[in-house]
Amino acid sequence: MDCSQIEREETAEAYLGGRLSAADQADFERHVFECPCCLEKLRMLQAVQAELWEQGSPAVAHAPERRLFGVRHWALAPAAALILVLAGATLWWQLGEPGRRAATAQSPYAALASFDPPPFIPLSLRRGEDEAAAHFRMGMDQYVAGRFEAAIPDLRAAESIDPRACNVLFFLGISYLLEGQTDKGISRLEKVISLGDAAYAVEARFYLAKAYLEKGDASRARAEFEVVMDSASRLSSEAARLLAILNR
Amino acid sequence: MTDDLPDPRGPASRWADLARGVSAGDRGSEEEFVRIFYPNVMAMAASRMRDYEAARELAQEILMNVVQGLRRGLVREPGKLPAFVIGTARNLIKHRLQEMVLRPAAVPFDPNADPSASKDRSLSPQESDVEEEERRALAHQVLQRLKPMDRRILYLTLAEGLTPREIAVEVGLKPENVRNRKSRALKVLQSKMARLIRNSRPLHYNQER
Repeated sequence: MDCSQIEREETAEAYLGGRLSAADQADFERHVFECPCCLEKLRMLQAVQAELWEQGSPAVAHAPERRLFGVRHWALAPAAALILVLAGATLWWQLGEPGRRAATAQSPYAALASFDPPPFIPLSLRRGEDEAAAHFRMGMDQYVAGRFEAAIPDLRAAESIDPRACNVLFFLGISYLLEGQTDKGISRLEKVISLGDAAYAVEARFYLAKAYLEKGDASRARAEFEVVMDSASRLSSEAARLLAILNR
Repeated sequence: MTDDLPDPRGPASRWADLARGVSAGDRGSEEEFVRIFYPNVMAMAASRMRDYEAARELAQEILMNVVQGLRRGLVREPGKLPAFVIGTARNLIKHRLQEMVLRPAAVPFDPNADPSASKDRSLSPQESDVEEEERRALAHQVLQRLKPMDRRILYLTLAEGLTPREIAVEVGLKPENVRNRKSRALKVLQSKMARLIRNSRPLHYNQER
């Protein structure tokens, strides 16, 4: 692939539009890494694409059949059904208490410290699976089945291979908490927070606060709940509610 | 003019649909999400990382991070999914650059190496932010100056990934006209942005890069 071919075949536009085959995509990317001109053009197009996404389309001529990113609406029916099934499953998971953490009698805040296991939906983004991912998948199979003790060995194995993987640390921490190994749970959740992964940090704080309550440490729990409350995440209102109870 | 009718669904509801599908673990939605956002994120990573594989890895990490964020309910406005993706990409790239500054990779000494060739394309996190914002501001400025039909054609090309033939059906023009208008609009964009970048970029950018 060379510059003139890229120009002639409008490869950069096709690349950003997601219309290249996997092989052409890889060829184009390799070329871009060696060619400052094509990189510059790609960056310009990338900025324009981002801006167009934000602005939206200025107008529509005639809409014979609106499609969602190239998919006809009726084709999304199975996806909608899947969403409903998953929503139902999540509700069942939360109401059915397959592994609700038992409140212990040691902490004065035991009732507030109890929690339902956060749900997990597997990712299917990566086609290949390395050893750490395989252990994570096996551990999470146990986790989803409510067998938290059985989940721990595989999650530990994944952690030893990739000690900075926030998904592994998060669910390992939760599994420890659910098994009553609070100190080990705390150490994993603290590590998730220190790594700053936005996808897990807020939630890690929420469950860390629960763990502190389990240990009877209300002041540290309050500090974590306050951060969660300010995060405007789905856990904010629950954090505010618990904080109000703690402050009574 | 045929291009003055509003989009009946609007892009926000389409992004929200996609965000919901991804949140629910729908594989088709995930693949669509990757198809749409991977190239944009990869272009951002490519412009800052020295290494092809590292950029690919980072782009994938960014997308996985967004998926996790969607599933953990961190996206307050699913209709603004692209802004969330780009914001996440910016943060993670910045974080990675900071890590690289703190822990630079060891490079074996080569007495025959050309010193100018060793200059990679990594910017400092601050430069990276400035350049990103500058580029977006220029894109905004230049897009405003385009005719609505040309902007629409660019939107369908870049934001929805349609071919000239598909766009022709959407806008009621011949595919050849669509292709010509798109090429012309892109050339205008390219030349205006290049000129604006040259005029607005601080001196050290031109000296260093």
